[in-house]
Amino acid sequence: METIRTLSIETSCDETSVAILENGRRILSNVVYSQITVHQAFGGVVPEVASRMHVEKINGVIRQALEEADITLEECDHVAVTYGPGLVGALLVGLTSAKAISYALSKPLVGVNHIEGHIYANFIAHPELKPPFLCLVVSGGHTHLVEMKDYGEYRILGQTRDDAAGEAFDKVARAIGLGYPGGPKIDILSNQGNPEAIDFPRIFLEKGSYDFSFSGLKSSVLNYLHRHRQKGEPVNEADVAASFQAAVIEVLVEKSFRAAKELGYETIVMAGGVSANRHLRRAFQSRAEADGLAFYFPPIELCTDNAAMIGCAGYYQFMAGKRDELDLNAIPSLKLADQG
Amino acid sequence: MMKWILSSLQETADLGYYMGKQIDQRFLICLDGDLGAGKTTFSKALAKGFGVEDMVTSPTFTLLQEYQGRMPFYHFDVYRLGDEEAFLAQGFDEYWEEDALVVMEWAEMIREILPKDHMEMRFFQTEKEEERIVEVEAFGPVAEALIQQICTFFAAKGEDR
Repeated sequence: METIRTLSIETSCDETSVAILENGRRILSNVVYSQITVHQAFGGVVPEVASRMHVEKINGVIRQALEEADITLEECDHVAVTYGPGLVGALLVGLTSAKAISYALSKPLVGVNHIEGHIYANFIAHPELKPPFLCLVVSGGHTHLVEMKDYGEYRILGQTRDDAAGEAFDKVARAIGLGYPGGPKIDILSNQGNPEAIDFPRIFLEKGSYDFSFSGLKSSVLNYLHRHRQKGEPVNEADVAASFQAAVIEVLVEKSFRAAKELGYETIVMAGGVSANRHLRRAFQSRAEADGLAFYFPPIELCTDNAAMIGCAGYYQFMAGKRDELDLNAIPSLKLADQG
Repeated sequence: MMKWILSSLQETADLGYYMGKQIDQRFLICLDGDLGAGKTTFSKALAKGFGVEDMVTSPTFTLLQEYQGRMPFYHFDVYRLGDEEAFLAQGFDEYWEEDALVVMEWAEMIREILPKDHMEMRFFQTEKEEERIVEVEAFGPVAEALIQQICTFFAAKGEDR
């Protein structure tokens, strides 16, 4: 088999990342420059800072990725790049770099949907994994339950109607006073708390729906904090964190496993930044064992934003014949839509 | 400045839907209030009243979500931007130059550069779980006309009771 090398670029949020892949699933390099420490001072990603940092870092990160992979730009067969969803200024930095390389070296360009990239992170981590399977994508900006029938073939079963799961984590962490990023902080704090201490609502929406809603749960947690603070009563923050997290996890588990059962899937895959949450992983693992399903999730470094996952998705699209022109634009609110 | 009590989530939504129905020209609504104060509930209903059929989801991560109603509907959350300079650096001020309805959450962060014509709404929680107080302030003639209609909305509510 001919070896195909993919150069991929991801700059949709606060990571500047470039990867080189061989035949889609083998990582030669995956350099991630994170701005998290810069953003912690601001309590969230500051987009203006984000764009400027991407501009400063991108060339160095490309160079480092090539060095670590020990190849030259000319040896890459095509370029894959995230074109949405994300912050427009940040996306444009990666997209413009990818176009410049594509144009200067006559390498085909493939635009990749960031959410799709998260799913493909699992193919890198698990060589034996192939579609069809059911996938839960959970991150700061997205909560999608997706049927992946084949490479590039999706059906969206459900998505959030208001806040993404990761956003609920961030906002609850902000209200408790834990800071940013909220997900890992709640994950750790909840180890010391009782997940059954407070009965926060599990929002399942109407019967049969695979959609999610976390705004009501968030409000309920905030009301709880507000009420106690107004009365001057002490709040056990670990219990709040653990009970909130348990409510999120229960809904994610129930909906995902119900969908798998009803649609006859034997494999469940989790993807996105929130899939780094250890309590969530454990809950999926034990339910998968009980239901006799296979369960896959990516290692932490592939859960959060990285270019390798974009390269993997780009590789399969490249092999399927997809090519983008140099007028490819950044689409900040790009959706993952039914395909194939 | 006017002030009303919204007794339930439904009433917050009703107000949003009603206002969405009334607005038929370029306009900016600024929303302030703590997390959980009702900005999301209000915005979703406002969009629906304005003719947006797509699902309106939180703009916190993306900063801006674009929809199409009777005119374009732009939903911002500027919390993460933090200040005016960051807002302008994104070129976001161009959005209120368009014939569109712009809704901006956490607008207090960019107070210095808000256009002259707009409406400010602040939501406050009370000790009751679903009850909110909403303060509405009009800047410019379009907002003043809309505030009259909001008075009509609450007057009709009062007669229901």
